[in-house]
Amino acid sequence: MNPQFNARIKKAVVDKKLRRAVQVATDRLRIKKADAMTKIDMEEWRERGREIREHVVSHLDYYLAQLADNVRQRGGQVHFCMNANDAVQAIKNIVQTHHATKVIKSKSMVTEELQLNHALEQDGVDVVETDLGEYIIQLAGESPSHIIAPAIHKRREQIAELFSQVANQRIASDTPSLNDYAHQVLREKFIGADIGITGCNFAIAETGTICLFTNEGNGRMVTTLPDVHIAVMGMERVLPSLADLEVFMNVLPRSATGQQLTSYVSLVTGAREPEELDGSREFHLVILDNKRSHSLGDPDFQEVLHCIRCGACLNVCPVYRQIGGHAYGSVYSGPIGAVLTPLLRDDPEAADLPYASSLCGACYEACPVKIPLHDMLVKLRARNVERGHTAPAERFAFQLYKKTFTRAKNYRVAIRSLRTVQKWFMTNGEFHSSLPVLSAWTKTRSLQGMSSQTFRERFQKGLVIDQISTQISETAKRRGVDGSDS
Amino acid sequence: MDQTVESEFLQNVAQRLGRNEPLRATPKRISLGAQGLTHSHLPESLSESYTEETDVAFNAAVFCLSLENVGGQAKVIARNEIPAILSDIVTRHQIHSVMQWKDALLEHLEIPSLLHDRGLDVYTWGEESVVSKTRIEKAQLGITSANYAIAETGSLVVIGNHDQGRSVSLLPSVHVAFVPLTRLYLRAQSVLQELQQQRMPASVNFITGPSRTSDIEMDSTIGVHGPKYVYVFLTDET
Repeated sequence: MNPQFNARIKKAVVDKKLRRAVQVATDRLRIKKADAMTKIDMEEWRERGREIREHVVSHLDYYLAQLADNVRQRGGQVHFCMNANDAVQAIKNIVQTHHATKVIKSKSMVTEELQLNHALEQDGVDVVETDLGEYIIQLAGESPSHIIAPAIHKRREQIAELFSQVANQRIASDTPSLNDYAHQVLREKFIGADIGITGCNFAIAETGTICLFTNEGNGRMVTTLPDVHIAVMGMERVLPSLADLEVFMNVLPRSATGQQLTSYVSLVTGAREPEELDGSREFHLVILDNKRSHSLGDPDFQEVLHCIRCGACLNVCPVYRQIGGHAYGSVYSGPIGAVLTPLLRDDPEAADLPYASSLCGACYEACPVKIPLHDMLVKLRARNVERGHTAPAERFAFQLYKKTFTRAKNYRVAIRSLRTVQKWFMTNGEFHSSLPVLSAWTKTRSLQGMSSQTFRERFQKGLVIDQISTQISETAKRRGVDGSDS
Repeated sequence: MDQTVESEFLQNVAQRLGRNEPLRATPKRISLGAQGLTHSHLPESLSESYTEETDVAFNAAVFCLSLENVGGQAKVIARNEIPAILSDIVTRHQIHSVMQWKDALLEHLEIPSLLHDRGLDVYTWGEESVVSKTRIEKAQLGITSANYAIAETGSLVVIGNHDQGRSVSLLPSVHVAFVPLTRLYLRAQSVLQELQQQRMPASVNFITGPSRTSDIEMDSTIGVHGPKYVYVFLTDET
């Protein structure tokens, strides 16, 4: 694993406050989700969700063209963008055309992927995140640590500190005070903004409609008050029809926050009607590929495009719960981040993310569209091997392993010699915890030595199963197994 | 938009999916939307007291319970209760500035005149041809009707048009809606079907209870950007 990733993990694991905050948050989200699931037969809805996503993604060319046509029919402008640069440039052009200096945003993971705020700020544009959590981390100069709860790693005292600095006066750290302050500051931003930028939970191909699921109401503000609305979407975020939206109205809020439905579901179709007195006058839809298409047609990874960004896999992941979102060093964290990041970003650091998993499969169980994330993690590890991304020592070890295990003779020789050699490195049937090559494993877990007899040897001596199990339990007794060795 | 960029984009998608060129024929569907799925269980206490699931009174009871569950308030009211109800809300939330839809039902219920009688500052959407953001920002109470209501989730469905400002149900901290029982459906499915049968309006909002956030230490709180208080009154009047 690369040193930066290791360093981030180490830093996160010793940060007790962070771990506590992440665990409290993920627990609460999981409990609320479990409760919401009792009201519907989730299995049935999950399967339908999967079916619809599979259908859309495998006919994405058709549905994207239909979506673009319908958006244009309603006076909207569509920008197809192959990569992040193109998308940032398209948005910058819109901002410049309008001589806009004030941009407000509602929560959008895809604009994080574009690092859009930074790009606009460089042009002297005032960009304000209006989702409370996003606003907090924008003030802190950080990135989201959870797909749906971006600031779960921040404690209220830290938030009060950030707000107080901006306000130039002391803001109390109780929730109502913090809430009221954000309300007041952001309300002014809503009223004064030139352009509103949103993400897009789903785009309905049949009608050219953008759907936003929000709780705070900032998504509605951003699409209602400024004269220009730019929606940015990953190209896979399409649904065929409004009828299909019903399935995701049932599945997305339950999986994300454990709500039956979010406070607001906003369906925005183009700019305002000519007779309307509020709403945006101009509508743009930015459709981003950014290597998503590389997973299309790939039997191993196409399903990653089924994801609806609910965050349920983060809340159940034992690794995420220990290290939080920032340790992943990627816009998308948790199991989905560990799969998606190396697919979207072909660099050695991203290639390491699939190792941040215990492969327990809890992510698959939690996924509302049944993406086999744990299988994909294994396949990504295999891909690293094929591409030679693994360490030379590891490659050498596995070549040796292959040679040993594919020839019976080699195997027997290896076993015999290892059995002799291992004695020098063991106490009480376990390897010492400080062995240089094995220490990554042995310093936190026990590694037992090889048994004194192989199965074949026992079999030849005529030992039966009972005797073998007695021997095993004796070994266990000798080691004093009480669970404390792990 | 550069036409070639778009066709290259779609061509790439098609090729990745194993097609020579983008698909033009509508693909066949195995299943459509939630067809054939079992919807959420309704509260048993209610199912026992009403025989017909299509019963308006049953839907109304489900609506009220659902909205209360998410922190809103709902009630089926008779026309003569309205003055007292409005008066109560105005007093409780210390309202002096109101914004309302220009709406036949609200007028029929004589809500505009009730507000004027109390000496409130009333702004009626659609009466001025240009909306001043600073003007509408003053309102503490927004009064609307709704195009549809959904019992299962306790949701209002509001559509923006000349007389139905999107801001009215959004900017004020208190939102009051009067909704005819005839517009109440049990599930979102029926509303989505109705929307599919018309030209999709530019703005459709499903509103389910007050604005809320849990972004500060997962502590759930209401009214961060949208209304803190949502009152829905269901009525026989149309």
